[in-house]
Amino acid sequence: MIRKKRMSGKSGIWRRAVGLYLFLCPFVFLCAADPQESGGFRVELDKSGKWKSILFRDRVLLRNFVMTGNCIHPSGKGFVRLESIREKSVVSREMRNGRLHLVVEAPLGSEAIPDAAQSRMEVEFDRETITVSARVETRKTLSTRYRLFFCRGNLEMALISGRGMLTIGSDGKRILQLIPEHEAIRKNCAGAKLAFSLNSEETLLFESLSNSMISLQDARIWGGRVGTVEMAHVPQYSSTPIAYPPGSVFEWRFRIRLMTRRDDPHLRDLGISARGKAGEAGSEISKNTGLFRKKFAF
Amino acid sequence: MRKMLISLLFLTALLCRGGEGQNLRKFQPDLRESDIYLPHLRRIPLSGWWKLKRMNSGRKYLPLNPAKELRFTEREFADAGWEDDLVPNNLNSPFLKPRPTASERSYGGVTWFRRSFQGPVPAAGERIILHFDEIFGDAELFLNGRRIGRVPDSGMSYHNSTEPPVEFDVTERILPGKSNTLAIRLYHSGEPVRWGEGIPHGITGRVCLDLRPPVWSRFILAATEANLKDVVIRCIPSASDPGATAGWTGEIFEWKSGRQVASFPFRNAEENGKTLLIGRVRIPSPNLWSPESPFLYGVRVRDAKRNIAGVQRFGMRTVAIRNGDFLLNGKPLMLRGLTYDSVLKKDHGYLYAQVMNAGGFNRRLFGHWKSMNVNHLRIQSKMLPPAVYDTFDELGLVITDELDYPVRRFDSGRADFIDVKSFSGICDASGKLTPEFLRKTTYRILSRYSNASVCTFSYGNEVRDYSARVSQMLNELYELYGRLDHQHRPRTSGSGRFYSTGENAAVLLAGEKTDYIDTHDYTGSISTLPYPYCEKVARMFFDRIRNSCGGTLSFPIVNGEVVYFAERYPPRRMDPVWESAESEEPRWSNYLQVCNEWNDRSTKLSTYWIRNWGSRGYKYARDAGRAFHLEAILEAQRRLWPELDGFECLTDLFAFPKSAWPFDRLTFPETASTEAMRRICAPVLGSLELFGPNRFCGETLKKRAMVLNHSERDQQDLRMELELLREGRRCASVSLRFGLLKQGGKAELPFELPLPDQEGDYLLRWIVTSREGVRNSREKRIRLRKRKRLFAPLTAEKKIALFDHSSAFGALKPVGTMHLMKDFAIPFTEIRDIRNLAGYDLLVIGSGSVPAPAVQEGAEAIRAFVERGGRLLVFEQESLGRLPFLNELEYVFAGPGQFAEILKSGHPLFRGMDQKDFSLWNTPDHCFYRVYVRPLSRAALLGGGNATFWGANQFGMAAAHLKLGKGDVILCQCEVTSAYRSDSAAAQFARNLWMVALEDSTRALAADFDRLPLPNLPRISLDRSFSISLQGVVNRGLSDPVAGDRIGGWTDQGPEKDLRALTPGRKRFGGVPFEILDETKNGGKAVLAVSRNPALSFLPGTGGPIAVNRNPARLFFLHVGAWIPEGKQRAGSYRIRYRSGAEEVIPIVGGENLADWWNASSRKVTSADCVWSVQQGGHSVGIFAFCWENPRKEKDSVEWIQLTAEGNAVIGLLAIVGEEQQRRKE
Repeated sequence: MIRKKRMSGKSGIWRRAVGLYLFLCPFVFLCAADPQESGGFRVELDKSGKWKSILFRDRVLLRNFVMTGNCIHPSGKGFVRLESIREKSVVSREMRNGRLHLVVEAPLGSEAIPDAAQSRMEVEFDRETITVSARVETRKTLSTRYRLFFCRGNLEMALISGRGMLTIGSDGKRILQLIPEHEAIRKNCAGAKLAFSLNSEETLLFESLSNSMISLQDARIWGGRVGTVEMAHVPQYSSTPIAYPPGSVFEWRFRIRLMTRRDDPHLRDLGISARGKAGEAGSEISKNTGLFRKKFAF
Repeated sequence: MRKMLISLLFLTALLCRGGEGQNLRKFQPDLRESDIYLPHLRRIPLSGWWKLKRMNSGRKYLPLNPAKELRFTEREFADAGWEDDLVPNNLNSPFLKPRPTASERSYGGVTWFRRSFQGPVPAAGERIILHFDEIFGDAELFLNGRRIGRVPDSGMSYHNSTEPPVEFDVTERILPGKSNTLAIRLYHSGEPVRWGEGIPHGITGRVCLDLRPPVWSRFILAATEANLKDVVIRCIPSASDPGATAGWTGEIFEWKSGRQVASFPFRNAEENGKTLLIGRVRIPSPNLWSPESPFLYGVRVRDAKRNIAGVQRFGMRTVAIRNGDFLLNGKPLMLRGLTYDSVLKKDHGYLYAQVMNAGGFNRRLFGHWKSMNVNHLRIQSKMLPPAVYDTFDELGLVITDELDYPVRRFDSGRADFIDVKSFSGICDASGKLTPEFLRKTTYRILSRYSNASVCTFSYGNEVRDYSARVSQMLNELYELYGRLDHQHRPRTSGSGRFYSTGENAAVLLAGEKTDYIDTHDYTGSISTLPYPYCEKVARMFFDRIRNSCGGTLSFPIVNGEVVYFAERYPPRRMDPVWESAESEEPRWSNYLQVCNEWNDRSTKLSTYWIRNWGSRGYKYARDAGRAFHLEAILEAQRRLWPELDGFECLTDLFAFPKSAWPFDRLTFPETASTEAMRRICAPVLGSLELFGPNRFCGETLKKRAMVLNHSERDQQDLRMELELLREGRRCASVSLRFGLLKQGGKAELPFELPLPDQEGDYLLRWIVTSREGVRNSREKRIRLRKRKRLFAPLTAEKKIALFDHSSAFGALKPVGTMHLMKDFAIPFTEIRDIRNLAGYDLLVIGSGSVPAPAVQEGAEAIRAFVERGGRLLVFEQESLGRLPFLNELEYVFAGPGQFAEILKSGHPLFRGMDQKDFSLWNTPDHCFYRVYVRPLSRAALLGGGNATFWGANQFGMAAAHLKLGKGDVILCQCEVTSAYRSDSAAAQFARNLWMVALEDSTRALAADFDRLPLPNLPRISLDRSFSISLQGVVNRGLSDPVAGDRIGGWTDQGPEKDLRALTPGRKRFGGVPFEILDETKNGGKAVLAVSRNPALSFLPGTGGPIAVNRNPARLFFLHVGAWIPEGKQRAGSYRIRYRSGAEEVIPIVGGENLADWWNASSRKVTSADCVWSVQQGGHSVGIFAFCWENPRKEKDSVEWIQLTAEGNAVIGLLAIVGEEQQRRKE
């Protein structure tokens, strides 16, 4: 059953935000039923349903996670950023199969185009995954040459600088690269899956589930400290602006997963296996020659 | 004596040629083959031998000279001295001259044609119609000396096939029972001449006299009803008066036997404002038309007096779409096809052979394709001669009939100009079809309406104009076809109109009407990605279509062009590259010239061969390569069923004989490609999941097997037998039972095949059988190696240092170089600091470790270590840019590569290996290098190709062994580290790498290498250098988050094409300390960009002035350019103003002191250096520095500098450094 609450009044807003936060914390720990694990995802929300931060085991992974948009100004000159209108946002939560589902509904708009669209993010929390289903319906005619709406969050580059990153394109193209420690990433990183090695054990994965594209822009190029991770609907390129009439619907799904072990079975989905094929060969050799006896000890 | 011999030979040759002509002259045309309606109608064919006279007018039009030429039209004129030629034919390819001269091949001018014939005697009321299927050129026609009409030139220079036939009523002019003479004066310029050949012109279609009743049927349109029993016949009579067609009836008969099966009366009706006759009839137990059973009926229309008023052949069949699938007669249909572009007009005899079906030519050609299990052809932007469609009907080929648009001329020989189409004359500015085009298209639809083979329609090939006008035009065509076609055959807005990435799908589907979707995806051949990506790319496309259609694939999808391994081969370039198929190495200068320098058009259309199959394979094994890729790529297409509903293969399957003569003995060769086509297009196909062939002895191959039933029946007791053979002897086998598989069904089963313990090459064969017998048999090579031998410990007496940064990748890279060394029991010392390498013999840099700060910091030490005699082994890297320790080389992103060519087969690195080992490794995407080393040079061991953009024509080294000082460097970009445990070739290669690195004698095999130009600027004295500030004059940023917003970036091309990789601060480029401004601290500006390009009007044409107020001896400019003209043309200038008022101008000249930033490091500049480059997207981009000597250094001080752009160039000034004059010694 979905329980909807409209936030209004300053003190009420804060009370509810804190309440939601307090609700989520124990829940996520409850979800982390595996006694060997010390916990899972935790999320801090503000009054409007905007995610102030996503934490994993008390470490902030993403900040300022929001639904937003970008379209051509009605005058045809310049661009308009469409932001969630916090005052009108509605947050509701629901338990399904023992998992928390959070629904954030908010209009998107700007001064130039008020009430441009209505957005809805349905978020399912699991111990190591956050699955987001996003839907935006336009209320005004909006034009773009690329894409209109996207979810965006800031990733602390300090978390991933000097570490490895795997990009898998929508067409399956793989690029494994080292993220520079001090300079910005030279390439525009975009694809169906972006995986970041956080340390020797943990890997943070952003993956498209349907109709979405993940990208990372390293803001260090502009002197920033964060990387902007964008999870957008698949763009439609056009040399001339495409005008989407009111009622146009954009839906996309993506997942954020934190893999906490080197032998996490989900690594196989990325074509990686600590044992897998290598293990097959290794075990055979260890059986035959003893060469591989210590194969995973180092 | 010698002279005599030569003369004798010459005479013999002449006689032979003459003899050939005599032989051709004896040809007796059998015109019965040309027209299936001849036995049914009163029709007198006039094709065959005609007399010709070329007026030698050059290419110019000469007005008719009555005094001289009108006699040619007279019956009595003696034309015995005129040239003989066949009609129809192409004037550039005379039938009696199989080897025309260059001028004959490009002929253009005025030509007279003459033909005499016996005039028929018409029955009472009959009309005599002179009919031409096609005349290409401006023609005036005369009968018995009297002008009967004119056919104006269509104005098109290429396709003309949509032109309706030309007819003249000559009843009053003909002399019945007497000799008549038809004379035609035809003019065509023959232009454009392309590759030495003028365009085909002349009388290019059939000619005949028709004797018709006063009212006859212009079109007879047969449409099968959905119940597959009834057929509706529409008849459009030549007269619209209903009284004239009263009492008309129809008879249905079996075409072959002539047996009448039904008859019916017509009734008058009106459709689309036109009067016509309609009859509906049920055929008892009809035989349906299909590819496997192309049964044909005929309908005979009789007038009230029982005269035959028309005959039409048709087939009982329906074509429809349900749930996103094509249905033929209600059953699922997968189109397994080819793209057919009738380019045969040029070669000797082909035009006549095809138009007239001489010697059953059409059945020979298309029957050959049909024998390869092809069931479909897309007629690419053509309307073929009627006899060809009739053959399609008989053979059971499902045809996509595609519209063509006028192509006035070819702008250049480049392939990417083929889709330049002109829509003037087709539609107006709003996209509304012109009456003339409407008329022609209506004719086209109606004339081919009843051909059973014509099952789908396309509105053009690669119509890449996405304007609202063309969208509207396509929608109008959709409506037009919908109105006229009562068979409701599926139609697509265009073949290849949807990008293969699906990026424009939503836009097109929202704005254009289409029944099915056609894309052109060349993955695996000329496109960017290798063939293991075929399924992935297609699935991405499906996803995007699905997302644009509310989550379901409601449209059938066809890959309208796939596999391009053309026969095109440039012998002059390629022949010298390899001396023989067995040579250990290529002729390096030729090889490097082809791969590094040859960037003309031919390269772009052939280097994909080298990328996917190697230069050696391109020369010696094209057919095998084509067959291999054809099978691999089409297998992926078949496996994509039912999401993918068809494919049209574009590759050449065989080379056509030079001449179609003798027509009745013409055969088309069987090749490896035709065999591959036959296997992979089999109606019932067995397919195995893609896997790399390099396996380990004793392992179990665990994969999935699939069978597909695209036959026209359910398959009972379907089985797949897999057997592993060695020298014909079975070593292992598995039997899979699939049971009943319905028509259109697809089934998959897992299998486990134990691989033997013995090393060697094996053949995995899988045979699919059903109750009908063997349905498909295919094979795949497997190579087995023993793990025990491969991983036997290696002994190493060297002192080895390993720097391995793999740990930074955590779980993303579970196996690093350290593991690799341990698995081979190689002792090593792991080092973290590379600055001190004393005491080591061999330094190993692990995979992915080059970007680590330690390598960057230790670059000089590494180089010094090698130059002193050390050895360096560098494993695969995915970082890009110059190698820190070998700045003359750069890592370049090559995209996924599933093939690399062995260039030194004698090198011990390839011990126990051959070319087959360097293809399709057992990695997640079956590719084994992604980044290669440039420039490609004699040091290369493995050559790799760029797969990052369409038609990529760049090459690099996937492995190299190069000499540096007293030492040597082995660079291995093959993904040995990640693959050696899963792929036996990778394991063998890893072992060989160690053996080479550990054995001193291999040092001698290292080769010199070519170097990228290193900064060659004059040395600057740092003490005397000073930076000239651009702070106040810069106007643009280096980074550009949004393309086309006129705000950011020096070219405003967005984040994919900006200079963000150039980080700010004081940088030494070419030894010069340039100061790159930090845009974050300078209002987002760091570059002074100027241009006069109208598209970039937001950039100033002139920038500055930049204050100097110093007296430098030299100035060093750091700048970047886009759209810089080549060929030493001016792109702009620096204007130097002195305090005295004097001025100097430094011209900025493309190829001298600046070149385009795109692929900058490969560009030749004479007085500048590319001092910095970086990989961006599929290309490298770079910036240039040059030095200018101040001619007034002794006299005057520089006050300011101004930058001006010229033409379309964009010039970005990044920094200027000055150098003070050297002070004279006191």
